Amino acid sequence: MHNTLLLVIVVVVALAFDFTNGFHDTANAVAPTIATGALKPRVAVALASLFNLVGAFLSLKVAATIASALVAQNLVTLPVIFAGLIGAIAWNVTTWYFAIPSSSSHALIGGVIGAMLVLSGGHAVLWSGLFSKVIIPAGLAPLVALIAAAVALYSARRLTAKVDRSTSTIGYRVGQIGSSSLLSIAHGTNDAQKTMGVVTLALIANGTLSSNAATPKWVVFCCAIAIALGTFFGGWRIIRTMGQGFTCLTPQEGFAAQIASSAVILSSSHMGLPLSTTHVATGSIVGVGVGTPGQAVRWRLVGDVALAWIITLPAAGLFGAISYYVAHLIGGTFGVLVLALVAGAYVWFLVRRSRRDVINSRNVNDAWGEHPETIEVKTVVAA
Amino acid sequence: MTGTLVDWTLLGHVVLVAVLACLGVVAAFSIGLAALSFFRDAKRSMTIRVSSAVVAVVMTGFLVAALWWAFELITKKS
Repeated sequence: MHNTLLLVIVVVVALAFDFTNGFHDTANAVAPTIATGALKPRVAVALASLFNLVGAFLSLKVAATIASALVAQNLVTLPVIFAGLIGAIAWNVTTWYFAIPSSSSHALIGGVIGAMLVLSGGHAVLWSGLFSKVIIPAGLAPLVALIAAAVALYSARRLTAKVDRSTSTIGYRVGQIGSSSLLSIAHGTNDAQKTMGVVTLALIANGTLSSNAATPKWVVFCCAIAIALGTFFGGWRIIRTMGQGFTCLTPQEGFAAQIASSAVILSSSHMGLPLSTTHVATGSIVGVGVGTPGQAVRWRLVGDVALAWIITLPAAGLFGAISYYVAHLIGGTFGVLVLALVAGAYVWFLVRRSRRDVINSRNVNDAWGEHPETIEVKTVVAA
Repeated sequence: MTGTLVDWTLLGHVVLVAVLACLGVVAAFSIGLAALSFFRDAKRSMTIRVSSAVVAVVMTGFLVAALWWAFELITKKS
């Protein structure tokens, strides 16, 4: 059934989600690059934005699905898509405010599941798929990345033991520019494609497109621009957490972490076990901290982030469920419009509050405030 | 129970491939960097410097191949 206004609202909200996805995930690619001084913050973010845009335009095969293999696709309607997106945006902006890296993909899945539970109950959710494709990989991703990063760093240290420090520093900083760009392309391909799929599904659900139609070019263009703009905006709060919060990074460590992230993300995706970019990037950074003798890792912060990961699905699900319920209660397109305005007000509120403690390109590399905790009682800091 | 939810063989392959790929790239880059450093060191013998240059070129070729493979993976799955 055609409902143009509802469709427009859903598409706008989808692009807003894509935007939040961009700035939320910028840190995954650029945090080590900025932390080690390989690139200036604004340059790093601009480069990431450019490569996200390039990656997004490489997305040729778009699947018009949302949370596929996790919810019954025949029950997905425009209001469900809308509520799922609102849940994801609410969680993304909340974790951004608290400077916690979290998975945008899991937030979207959680939001959709929450809405589906209100619409159809538990039988609409494919629980075994949720465990095997989301929950268990979420737990394994950082561990795999940690192992890869620690092993890579060990080999790098041994192989460059006789290389003078300035050559090593310059060399690895140059390497980080390449690794950061590769991560940005991979992210742009993956995540913009996700939103393209959501918008295409919305068009099909509204009857605007037939079920086997190709994704319209304007969808590809808009999603690519949205994610690139979000990346360019720069989630500085999360960049700071990943670049300065977990551990201190040298160029060698930053390079090892980023190559580990790229290797894990690309190989797992290629072999049919896609892992969260955020979880992998965080695991890699912690891995190089663990892999450096005497280096401090802020385990309390790691614990806080892990807790946020655990509650991402239920929290986004709750936001999605409430969104669907309230929109349904008010009824029709008006209910969706009211919810969109409420969500916009929530985002505005958090953005305003964040102004009390501004993190931007000028202070993103300032020393971390709290005293670091270590797993051994040793003092700090590789050079 | 997790045995029916997770393909542990697949996961093992993922870990192995990821660790080896990561190790390979970082090692190649580090060897190339070390070779470049030796090449630029005027105190070393000409033999060492020429050998280092060759190693640096080979490692560069390996890294370009790795980058091409990565790009193929990105575009193939998209």
